[in-house]
Amino acid sequence: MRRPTRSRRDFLRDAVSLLAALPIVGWFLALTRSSIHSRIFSPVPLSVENNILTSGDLTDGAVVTAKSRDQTVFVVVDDQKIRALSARCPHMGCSLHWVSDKEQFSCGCHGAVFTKTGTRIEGPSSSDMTSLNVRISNDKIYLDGNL
Amino acid sequence: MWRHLIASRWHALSKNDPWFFFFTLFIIQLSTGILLSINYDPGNAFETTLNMEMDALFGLVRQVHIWSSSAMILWILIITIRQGIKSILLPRRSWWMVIGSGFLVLGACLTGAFLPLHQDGYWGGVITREVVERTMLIGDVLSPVLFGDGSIDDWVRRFYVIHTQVLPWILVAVLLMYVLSKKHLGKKEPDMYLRILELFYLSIAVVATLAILFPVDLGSQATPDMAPLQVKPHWYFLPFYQLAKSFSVFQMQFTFAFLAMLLFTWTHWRTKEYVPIRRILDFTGLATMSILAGLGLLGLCSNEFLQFGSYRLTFGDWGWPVHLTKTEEVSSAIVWGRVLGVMLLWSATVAVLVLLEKYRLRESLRSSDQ
Repeated sequence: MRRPTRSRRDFLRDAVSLLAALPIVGWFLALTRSSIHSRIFSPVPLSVENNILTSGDLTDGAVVTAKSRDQTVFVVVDDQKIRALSARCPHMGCSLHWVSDKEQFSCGCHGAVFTKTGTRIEGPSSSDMTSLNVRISNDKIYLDGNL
Repeated sequence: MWRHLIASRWHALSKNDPWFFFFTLFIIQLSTGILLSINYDPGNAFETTLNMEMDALFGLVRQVHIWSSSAMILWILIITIRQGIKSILLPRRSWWMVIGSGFLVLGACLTGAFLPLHQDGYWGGVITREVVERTMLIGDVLSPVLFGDGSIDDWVRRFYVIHTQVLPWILVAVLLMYVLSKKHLGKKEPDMYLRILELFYLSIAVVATLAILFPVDLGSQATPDMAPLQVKPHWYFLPFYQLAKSFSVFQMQFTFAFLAMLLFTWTHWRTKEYVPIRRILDFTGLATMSILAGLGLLGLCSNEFLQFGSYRLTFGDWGWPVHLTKTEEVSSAIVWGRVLGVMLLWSATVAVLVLLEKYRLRESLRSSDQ
């Protein structure tokens, strides 16, 4: 018994529907992107100019510009509490500067200004600076979660 | 037959077609772009660009490429305003080329400005990425395609391919569509080719003059961990730069969507007779263009100063004049080598144009004899 042959039209229909399905598959892959990132990375202690930052380096009132991989993080000690603030501006992703004489963070792109603890003062940003959870083990400072 | 085919295509366009200048600019862009891509390496972006900048010939080629891209956008804006004013009185026709080429050229400018990996280009790219990533529905799908896995090398390589392979070919297709759509509209003009050639030489001379006299500074290499104290985009993005000083990403996206919809209806609304919505559309379109121009001017002035003799007018964060102070007079140095280069360039251009004009007159006399 012969199998029914696939006509050219059938083949074309299948090919077109496969092509149409590709973006949908891509969409789901794109959705999983963020979860993949957080699984791959293992924690790395914060460092300042290739030296690992220890909790002994932090005095009260200090603002230290540290790095976690390629990302800049401000470590702020305020009232004995250690905070880590991402240097990424929550407005459009430029990097923020610490202006020491005004005691505030400011953005060179569109002029957003934040307090020492990361609260928005003025400018186009609709939210405060991204605060990151800090974990201290063996005097080294780690970030909990990804940037 | 072959000759007839070419002739019938080209005679279809009028020699006064406003898009001819755009065509010549595009040809300049293609030729300079190919020369630049010989020396450019996306894996070593800033060093190779800096080497080009140091080289006398390739530095000029790069400046011509930058100035010609500005001229392309300026020309699209001029055509938009011209058609907008014309359509207030005359029957409305569709001017789809404004949209067809405008977004492609803007995309090419966005991707091209990123390629040298200098401070301004890099941080402009970061802002683009942020806006695209946070766009509803398409952001998650588009951003891995356009920007890659997050490393700068991957990002540059993707932008390089988009800038040199994807966008130019789409633009070629759009220009071809335009020429073919005019196939039956034009009339035969015997001195057409020579007029195009004249225009071509003239536009090269204009762009090269600007490139010699006002070279665009490359600046320093991008530092991805620390933005410079001030980042300003090229002039055509200044209105949006000014808006972003007070708008969140969502408000910016809303503005972009509104502008795109306005531009689309404005350029595609075809009516022969007067309908009220037509006037509303023309008024809104021209008013929006003027508002954007005003915003751009404010963005241009912000945190800069103007020097009149010994008086200096300083502008604030928002582009408004803040104070007028008396300073020491600043004498501007004229680089005579550049002036000499421009004089040489223009004497050569005038010679070529005179020759062409002579040849054109002889041709037209000969064709009238027959």
